[in-house]
Amino acid sequence: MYHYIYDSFIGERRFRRQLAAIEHKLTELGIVGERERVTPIRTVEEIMKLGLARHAKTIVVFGNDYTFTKALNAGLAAGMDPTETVLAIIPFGEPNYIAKRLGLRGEAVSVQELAARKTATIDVGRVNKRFFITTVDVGFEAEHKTRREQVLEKISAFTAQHRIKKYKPQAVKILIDNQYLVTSPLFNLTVVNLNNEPDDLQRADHREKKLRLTVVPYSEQIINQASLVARREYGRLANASIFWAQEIKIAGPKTVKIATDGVLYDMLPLRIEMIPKAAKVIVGKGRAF
Amino acid sequence: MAMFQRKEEGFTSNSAAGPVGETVVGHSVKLEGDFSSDENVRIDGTVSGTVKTNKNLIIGERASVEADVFADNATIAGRVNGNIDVKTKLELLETARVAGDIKTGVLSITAGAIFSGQCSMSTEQGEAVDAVKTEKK
Repeated sequence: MYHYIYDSFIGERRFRRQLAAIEHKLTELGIVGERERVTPIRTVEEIMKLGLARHAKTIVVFGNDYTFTKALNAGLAAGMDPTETVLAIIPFGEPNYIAKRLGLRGEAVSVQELAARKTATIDVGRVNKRFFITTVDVGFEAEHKTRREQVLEKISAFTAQHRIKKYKPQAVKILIDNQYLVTSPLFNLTVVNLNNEPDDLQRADHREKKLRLTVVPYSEQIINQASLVARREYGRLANASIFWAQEIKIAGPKTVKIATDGVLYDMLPLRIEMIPKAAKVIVGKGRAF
Repeated sequence: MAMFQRKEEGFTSNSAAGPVGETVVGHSVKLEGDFSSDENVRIDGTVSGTVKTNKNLIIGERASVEADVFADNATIAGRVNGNIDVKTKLELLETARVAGDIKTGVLSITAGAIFSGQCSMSTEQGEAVDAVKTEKK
């Protein structure tokens, strides 16, 4: 049984034609089910719980990365069993890095993959009480997201230089696997579960169940590599450090900004770990794992 | 120093990017505690405690290591205060400054390196060679 979650922005005029075509295709393929729309009084989380309560075998999210991560968080918090329920996304709007990483590039492809029903069980990260699929950013990257600008904006190297000059580094302490402590005047820190950037080097080690942690200390030389910062290729910065961990604890001033899956989050301290095989999702041929 | 400019056994040059599992401790990062890894490790920062890897270890010219070091192979171009136990090959480059005892299978010391401590080496047959006390070279 299918359960569809339509994010509120899907109803906008610019998506009407695509939506109609997809719904027609789904009907042709016999993939029908309950459709629930997100409204100001009915959130993604509530609809997700409704789908689980109805014992839906497949929950399909029509939306972007933020829609999907909200649904995933609600599902995992409600005890969603990956052997019972499969999550899928039909990507609309931006950003859609998660859909791309799952091999679902575009609405038409996603419908085909939904019909083909190829699934994969994925590892998910947990930061305090929240789950994330792609990354946790602490410092510079998170500072450039506001609660309204929930978009992974593209910036130029010139803009990056300007922001780097204005950035105030703060000291953080990182305890890795309760074994060793890393300290640094922080510029940016990224914990990667599933890479959301083209840089294939930033992938986690899912064989060893380890998250990849990239730490970039602040230095004036970063300005000379502003193009890498603009492209979010922090792992390629000359001063970057890379660690692999199953559990990461981060402590520091409460003014340090944090973002999970591109959305501003709470404040330090953080406890981050990988939850292996936490969710089952529909995937396509071009998936990144 | 030329070896740091080319790929060697999975290590890349000055960029932190590398194969999955490779750990890089960059400059201006400080690490304290018992560090261990099953993959290659490169240190360009400050480390104190213990460093263990089952594979290759590179300690860069700007690195400062106050720790006992264990590796399969190691190349040292920076400062190490601590004992070094390398199973296969240990290489001290010209900028290496090592104070501590060394235990290794194959040892290579480039002119200009400074080593102060005892050295114990095992032959191909696994026999230990008598410890030789060495001084500034």
